[in-house]
Amino acid sequence: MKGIVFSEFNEMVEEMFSPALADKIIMRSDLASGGAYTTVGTYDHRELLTLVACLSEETGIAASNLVKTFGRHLAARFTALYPAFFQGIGGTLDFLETIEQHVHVEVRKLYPDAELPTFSTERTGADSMTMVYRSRRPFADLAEGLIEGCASHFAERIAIERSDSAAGELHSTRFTLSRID
Amino acid sequence: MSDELELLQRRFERERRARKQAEMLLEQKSLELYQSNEHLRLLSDEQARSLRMLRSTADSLLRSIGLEPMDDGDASMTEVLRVVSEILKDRERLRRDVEHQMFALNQHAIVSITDAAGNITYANDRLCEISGYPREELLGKTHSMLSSGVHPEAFYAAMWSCINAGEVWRGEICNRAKYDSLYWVSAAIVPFLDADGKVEQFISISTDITLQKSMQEELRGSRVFLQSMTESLGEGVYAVDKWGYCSFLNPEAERLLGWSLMDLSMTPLHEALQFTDLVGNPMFGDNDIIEEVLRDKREYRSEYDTFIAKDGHPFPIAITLVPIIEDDEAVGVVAVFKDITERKLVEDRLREATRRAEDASRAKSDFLANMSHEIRTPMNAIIGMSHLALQTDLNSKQRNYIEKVNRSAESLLGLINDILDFSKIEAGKLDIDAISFSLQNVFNDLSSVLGFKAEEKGLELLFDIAYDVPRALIGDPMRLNQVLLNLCNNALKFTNSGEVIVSVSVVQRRADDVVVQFSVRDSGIGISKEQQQKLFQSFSQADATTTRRYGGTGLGLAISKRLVEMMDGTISVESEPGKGSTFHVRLPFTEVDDQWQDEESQTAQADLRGMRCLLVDDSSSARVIFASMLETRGIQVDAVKDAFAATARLSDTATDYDFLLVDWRMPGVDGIEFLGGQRSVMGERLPPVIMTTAYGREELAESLQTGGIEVAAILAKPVSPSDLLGAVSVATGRGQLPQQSAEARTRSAADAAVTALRGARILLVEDNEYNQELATALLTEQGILVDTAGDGEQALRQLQRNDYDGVLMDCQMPVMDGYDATREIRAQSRFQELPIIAMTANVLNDDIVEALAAGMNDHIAKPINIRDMFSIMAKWITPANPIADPPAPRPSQGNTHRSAFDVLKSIDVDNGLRRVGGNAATYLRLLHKFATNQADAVSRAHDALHNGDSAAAKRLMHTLKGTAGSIGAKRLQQLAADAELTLQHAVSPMSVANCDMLQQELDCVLGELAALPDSLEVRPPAAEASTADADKLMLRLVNQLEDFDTSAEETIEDLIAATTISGRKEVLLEARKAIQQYDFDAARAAIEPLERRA
Ligand code: HEM
Repeated sequence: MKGIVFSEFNEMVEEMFSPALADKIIMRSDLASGGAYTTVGTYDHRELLTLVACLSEETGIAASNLVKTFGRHLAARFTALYPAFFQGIGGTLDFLETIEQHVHVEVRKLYPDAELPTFSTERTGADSMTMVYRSRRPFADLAEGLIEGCASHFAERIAIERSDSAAGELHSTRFTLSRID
Repeated sequence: MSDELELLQRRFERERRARKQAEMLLEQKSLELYQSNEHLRLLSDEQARSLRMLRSTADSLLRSIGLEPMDDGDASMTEVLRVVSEILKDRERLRRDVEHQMFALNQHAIVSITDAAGNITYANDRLCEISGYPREELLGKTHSMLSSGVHPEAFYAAMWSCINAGEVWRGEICNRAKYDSLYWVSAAIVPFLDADGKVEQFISISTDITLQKSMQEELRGSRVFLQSMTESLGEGVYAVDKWGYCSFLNPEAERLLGWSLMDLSMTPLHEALQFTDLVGNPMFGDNDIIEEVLRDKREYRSEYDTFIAKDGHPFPIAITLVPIIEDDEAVGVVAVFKDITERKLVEDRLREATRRAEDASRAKSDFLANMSHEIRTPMNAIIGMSHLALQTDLNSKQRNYIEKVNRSAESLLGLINDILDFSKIEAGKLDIDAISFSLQNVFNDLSSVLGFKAEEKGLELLFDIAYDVPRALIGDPMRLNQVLLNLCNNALKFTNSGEVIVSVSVVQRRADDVVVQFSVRDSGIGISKEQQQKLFQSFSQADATTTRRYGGTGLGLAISKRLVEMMDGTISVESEPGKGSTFHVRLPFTEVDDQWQDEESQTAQADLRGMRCLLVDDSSSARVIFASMLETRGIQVDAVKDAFAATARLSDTATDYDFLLVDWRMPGVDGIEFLGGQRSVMGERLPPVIMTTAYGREELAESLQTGGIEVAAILAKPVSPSDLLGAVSVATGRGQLPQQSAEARTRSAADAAVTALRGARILLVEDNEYNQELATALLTEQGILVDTAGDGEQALRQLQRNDYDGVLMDCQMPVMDGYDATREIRAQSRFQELPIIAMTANVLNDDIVEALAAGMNDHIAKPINIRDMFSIMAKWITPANPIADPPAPRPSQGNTHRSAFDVLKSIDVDNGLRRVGGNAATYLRLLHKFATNQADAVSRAHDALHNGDSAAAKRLMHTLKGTAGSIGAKRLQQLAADAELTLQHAVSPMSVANCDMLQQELDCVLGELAALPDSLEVRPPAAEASTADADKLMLRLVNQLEDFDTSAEETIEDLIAATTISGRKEVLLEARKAIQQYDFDAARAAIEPLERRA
């Protein structure tokens, strides 16, 4: 997993909680990388899971909620870092449809070794859509947070229902999204 | 300190390692970079070569126009380009100058040259252009080809003789162009002589004057046009000179006046017309209009003058007189006038019609204002009865229906009040009070009415009252409340998410006079500029569609505006569509000493200074408001916007907080999850917590309980400063005992009033039987004895027979109304002191005045506000035989029957009894009802799931959870709650195992319930009840069943209690079951045989 993800995570913890807490969980996690991340480097995604678990223990907030929060944070960062992806797009659902064919394709060009999930989307109506997440890594919570974050970027309210399943290595989650006005 | 250093040290170490890695990655890329640089270098060599070539080209160019070549130093690409473009620009400039001069000349003049014989040898472009001939066609021809035929032969002859004599000829010539159009030129023809003095050639220079010519032509035309227009104008036109003599009179004026210009040559015109005003005074002498117009040089218009025609008949005119000004001198007057006899007639008729319409509308307003009584009386019954019904045991369906009835009736009453208010304002019948009141009470009322509404919509309602706003004011609290209520209601109505903030501040203060501004801000749909302008008009909401979507009469704002104006205030709105609106109301009040201060002084004096609070709320407005409430009391507040920041603050061991003020609903991590997490991290060290929520207070309490989280207080927003500070005292154990909330205070005041009234004997005079029943029920419920009379005469008779502690008197009644009755009563000396209180639906001040004038002591408004009623009654009425102790409380009665419930093993009986205030009979009834209604809850849910209706299943589980809880069946409640939760998340349908467990528990509870007695033998033994009583009860039961009256249930209980014959009892028990299921027909059929026997 790319270093940008880790450094964004650390930054979020420093901002939302405090630098001291960020330091504390890195110390406790005892990571192969030692917690020294550079945005262009590549690291084991399990380090992120370890960091999250530690943070959850420290704060009493459920790990899944923390990952989701991180997703929202990342979405906000993406809108600032890569505004081009969001330009000329009318709403959350339209945007989500571009992830697989466009956004993550560009990400791959930039970072050929990125570990990206796959998404398949299907519109079920003007304001609703199903989106299936598939990955070898368990980051459906992250996806959910990202979706929420995108929704708040577009100032829309999106109801998200999800059902998870895992088969061996493969994690997949079906998101049922509908826009409420 | 060293901690921090270490932290920095570690962070620095990580940064360094990250940098090393990044450097490694950079090195990998450096080869690629080197190659790219090589490539770039090649490219730049190429560019240098091109530049050299370009430069030598430029140099040769410079040399060619006699300039120095460039310095070697300047040989950069940009310099070369600059020089080249400079050269090109110079050339272009020169070319353009020449062109401009040529163009100007050709614009200016038409030039031609002819030889002595008159043949054209030169023609410029202008000539070609204006004549339409190409140059080839002109050259070699004579000017006669252009001759127009307009000028006579002699004209040309004269011209020729002039120029042949060697003189310059000037004149205007009309020529004909190639395509037959004519054009005019002003020409000068100059002959040039040769050495012998003979003409050699002529040069003609002329300009085009076709346009001037045609303008002259037009001017003449328009004069003719004007002339004919005054003739066809249809209005009289005349002109007089500065002595008043007529100089012009158009045919219409002649027709209207009967005079002709000839007739008038000897007299000043207006003398002849007898210019008079409407009353007939001639307008001459002192104020001659003509003289006035001439003198002031100002226009005069009037529709109130009269002319007299030659034949002597006068007619009303509309006239305009305009001075004719020449060189600043008025030299005459032009007048236009019209006979307006017709119009005056129409106007008179219109005036009459308007007067009649106004009469009618006043009559309508009067009618509406008087309708008040007619409408309020039945509304009173509907609201009151449904209120009473809601006090009884109802199943959830009934409760739902009745609540809807009650709410609809309330909102109908609201509408009616709007309309009545409006017509009262229109009819000028509304008075504004000036009494002293507490602002806090106004806001307490507001929050109790609106809090619920806000909660229902999931909105936050916040009050932000500035500290310097006086607490006690003189003004009209009711109207203030009405206006704020209206604005807040609108704000809530048009806002779908976010918050509504009411802020109060003093904007002006002089001695005791203050101007207070109330601002209601919402984050709703907003109002466009155009809509804002229409906003305060009657019958208008922002637009017709919103009316349809949100309901309402559209009168609210119009009423508010009128009320505010009547209170000498102003109302205004600021809004942007999509962003929300703010309504500002500014009202003047007089500040008075705070007579309510005592009530709040205890918390007010509690010393809370130096405490430290962590405030967690996602709403920035709430943070600001709470922080300022706390900070004014010396509490130090750290406000954060989410659980993350709060967690960080708490994990920072340097600060200890005395208490936490935590909002429940926050995005991301909510208050409960936050507190749960902190409790597991901090354990006992977690400071006491006050939770706030804008909605779902009950739900919050429940979730706190399930999560096992203890909080010191739950506050529902909007929170008043005294509530908040009270909660702080409780949470921290500092300061005084917790204060009662304002609501609790009024409640206890009402309770005191009720106690004081117990045992009083009252005569209720009321013609409407619903109202009679309602009032009787309300009063007897509180231990007051009530006799009733249907009109004034009956009341007088009753008074002779019995002694009463007081009379409640309706005003409008048949036979003898309340005013007359009161006068009659007061006429008798022994009733001088008898308290008589008016009850009237007429809330017009007049009625109250009339009631007092008739001798009544006070007034209770209908629909009845129960608390108000008791406190007003207590003010006047003292029971002659008071009941010292309140009626023996029911619990003691229940205790003796506690053993009846011993069979219940799966139910927490004490808990269940507590929930019904210890009333064993009610509890028993509840248990039976539960058995009847919930027996098949699980199987029904199962069926619903089978049919794919998980919502219905969820609802059933919800109901089961609630009802199980209310009888104290805790395990069943828990299982039902689990089932509801499972269904809610809809991940997997309720598993069979779950269902089975639930069904088992339900069966177990039902089994125990079946062993309960049908009723408690708390009633008098059957033997004591006479058969006559039983017959009476039976008769009542039959009537009630036929009316679908739910009190049948009580009647049948009584009957069962009074019955000993076993066969009969069985039948009654069956009927009761039917009644409990609201199958009144079945119940009726069941008791049929008993009735015959009776
Ligand atoms: C501008 C928008 C986006 C950018 C620039 C972006 C970029 C990235 C990058 C750089 C990674 C890391 C790959 C790696 O570590 O090797 C990533 C992973 C991921 N992205 Fe995106 N992303 C965007 C939007 C989204 C959205 C809207 C979603 C959710 C619907 C999403 C879902 C994910 C997930 C779940 C992962 C984690 C990897 C996994 O689960 O296998 N991304 N993305």
